[in-house]
Amino acid sequence: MNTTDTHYVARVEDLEVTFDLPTGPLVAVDGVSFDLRPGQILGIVGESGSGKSVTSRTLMGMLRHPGRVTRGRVEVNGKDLVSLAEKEVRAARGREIAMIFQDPQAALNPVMRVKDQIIEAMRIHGVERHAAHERAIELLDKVGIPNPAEAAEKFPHQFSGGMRQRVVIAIALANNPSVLIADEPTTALDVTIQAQILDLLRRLRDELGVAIVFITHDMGVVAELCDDVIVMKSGKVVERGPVADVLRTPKDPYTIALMAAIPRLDSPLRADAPSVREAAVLEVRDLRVDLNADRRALLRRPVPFFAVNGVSIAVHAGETVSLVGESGCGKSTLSRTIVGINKSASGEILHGGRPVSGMDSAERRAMTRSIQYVFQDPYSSLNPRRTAGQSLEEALLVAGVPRREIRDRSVALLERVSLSAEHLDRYPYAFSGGQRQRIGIARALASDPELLILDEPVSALDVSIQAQILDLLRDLQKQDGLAYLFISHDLAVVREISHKVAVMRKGQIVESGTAAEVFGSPQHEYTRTLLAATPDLDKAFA
Amino acid sequence: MDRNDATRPVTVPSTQVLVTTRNAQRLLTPNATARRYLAAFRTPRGIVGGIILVLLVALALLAPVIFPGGYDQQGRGALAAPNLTHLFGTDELGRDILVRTVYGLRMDLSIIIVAVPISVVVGTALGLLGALSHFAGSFVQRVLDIILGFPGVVLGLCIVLIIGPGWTSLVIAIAITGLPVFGRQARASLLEQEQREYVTAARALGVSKRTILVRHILPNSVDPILVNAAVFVVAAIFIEAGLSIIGLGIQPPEPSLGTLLNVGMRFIEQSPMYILGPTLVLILLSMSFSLISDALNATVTRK
Repeated sequence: MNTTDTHYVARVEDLEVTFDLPTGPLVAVDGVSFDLRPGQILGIVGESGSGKSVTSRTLMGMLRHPGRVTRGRVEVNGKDLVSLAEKEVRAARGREIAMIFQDPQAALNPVMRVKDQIIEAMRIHGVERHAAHERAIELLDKVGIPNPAEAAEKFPHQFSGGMRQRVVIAIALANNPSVLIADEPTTALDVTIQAQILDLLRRLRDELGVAIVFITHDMGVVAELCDDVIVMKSGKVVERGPVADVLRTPKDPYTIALMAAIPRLDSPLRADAPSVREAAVLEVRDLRVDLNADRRALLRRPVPFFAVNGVSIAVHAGETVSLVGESGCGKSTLSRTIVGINKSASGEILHGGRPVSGMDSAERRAMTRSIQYVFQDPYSSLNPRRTAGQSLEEALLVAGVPRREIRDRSVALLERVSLSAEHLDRYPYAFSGGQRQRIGIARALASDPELLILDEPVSALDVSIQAQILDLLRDLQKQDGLAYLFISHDLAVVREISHKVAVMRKGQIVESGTAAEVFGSPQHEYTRTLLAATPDLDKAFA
Repeated sequence: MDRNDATRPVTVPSTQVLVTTRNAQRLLTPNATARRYLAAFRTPRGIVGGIILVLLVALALLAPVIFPGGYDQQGRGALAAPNLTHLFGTDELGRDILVRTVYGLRMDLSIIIVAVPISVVVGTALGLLGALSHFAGSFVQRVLDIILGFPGVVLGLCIVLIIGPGWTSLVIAIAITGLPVFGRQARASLLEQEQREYVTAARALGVSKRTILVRHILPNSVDPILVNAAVFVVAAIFIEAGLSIIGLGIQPPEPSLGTLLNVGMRFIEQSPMYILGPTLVLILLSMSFSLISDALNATVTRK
């Protein structure tokens, strides 16, 4: 860090934030200090619960009850926000320090024109209406929204996710703040959009000299964007320094472990592809799914919308086929159609070489049992009122296991996913995210399936937990020759687990092949764009 | 990297496994659900609510024992303010309002205990019908909308005209008035729960519609319905009052909380304390129900 430059826009000194919980005080931020120079982009990285968001909220003076600052100073442009009255903090907020939120959809008011939302931000700080109007259009132009005058009159729903985040950034910039806090601003966005937003932030820093505090869990993004980084763990800063130093030669054991757990785009590909060529466990031929088919209309049929439009894919025993694509590409619709949640419009699904349409009900039940689904968010896919044991019991009963064997089988299932009998009678809230996903996997294994459809199974998890779940999945596959259809938007994760990869876009598969082919020599333009947009540690340093 | 994260439990010694497995089996029985609900009565709110309700019910049940003179004994002073001999004061005919309130509570509890559960069960069943048949679900909602269109008293009037005044018609009137309340509440829960991923997960497992309804949707719909039931108890008492005052409900001189309140409001200028006793009992009654439903809610959902 440049020590000769003593001009700081923000300083945090020995900050301690305590939450007074019924169970006793909890120190969420413990002695955090950092300085911010104009034009500096500082990354704060950490897993969930590390205190990074609490730090940023304190910097905004927006700490929520029951949290309070118990020690230290938060200085923005020479003013100590901790000792200021609420009214003065409010004056500083927006004008000197502004925030970009994670979910632009939630941060924008759906019934207000974009223009009015930007103007509102300025009117609060006393800008005259006419000047504010002109500045609003200027700001929209600055954040890269085409046709700013026209766009200003639109409502948030008329923009795409990436454009909405640009509007949020425009609002944050409205009063020329000297510090911008970005709390996971790209987590809700697709990689290609994420790359654009990161570009925009970099450009704004260069043009406006604004300092940015970038809070994220993604080391790849840090590597691409930030100048300096601090790594937080349970409220403490465990490592700090220029990004290249910290990420290339981490010193703290936690940072080292974190770096090791991150899936990389240069990791070795899996070399254990099964060689047996029996009939595919699952084959999909030219499948089309019309999402409008179920919509009722009184007079005319709604125009069909094919979320999946002529997709063919095959998964063999012991192999992982990954389906990659950005949101809205139809990958989840495809998987839901395979397990029968959605209906297909045309095409065929074959199970063990036999078409599903020609099956009688007994065969169909057998197929339902042998293809199981693991959901992205284990918290929402487990009924909060049912214990882990009850959730497994339900799956086992459906699989036809007699009642008296259920207890032993439940325990066996838990043991397969490295949990134990003591976890049976706990409710989902008593588990960590990783444990919950293990239960989700155990439930899917209840009927001894041949194929698991894994719908973004690790994207809701912290990196270190993510690595463990991927390990578990690989182990299970080796033991039982399970076939996986792995759905993900994260190319680095896909690279670690896949034998074959299919890239999906707008309901169609644009490229498919072995992992080596797709990652080594991508043929389709879109695959190359995706690969280029994926933040990667090594690429950033090259 | 660090593989010893919390998601990887340390291997438990085998004896302990045996013990915990046995516990697990016990918890998997249907009794577990009942025990979970009973745990509500160990929370502060559950204890307070439970005690109030038990006291009120005991008071109502023992009314003939405590006040063997009945509710109709007239004294000398009419419309007296609360004093040591008449804790709640006396009414326009010099009858002790405390005695009449206790007998009124007895009457109201007898109506509520029958009418509200009928309304809750039938209303919820109608609301959840949509889980089994899309068409039937929508159809029932339209019928409930029509019932909702009638004010409770008008509806009650029609029923009384058909079967005559008295306890039975009050029960029927209250039960029918509650149907749209619980029917729509259940419908809302159903539509919300159907979107939940654990319902999708159950469907993906191949669990039948009926099992999903009983196992996933119903338990998750119970809380708002319980809370609504507690609120509806108060509404029920006012329907009873409304019908009683126009002479179609409980016939004087028999008391009910509703009639006491209605008469009390007529004398509010001469004797402002008249309605104090019945109001107090009404508040305690509804408070006990909402405390209990609150406690149930807190124990059953995750913290």
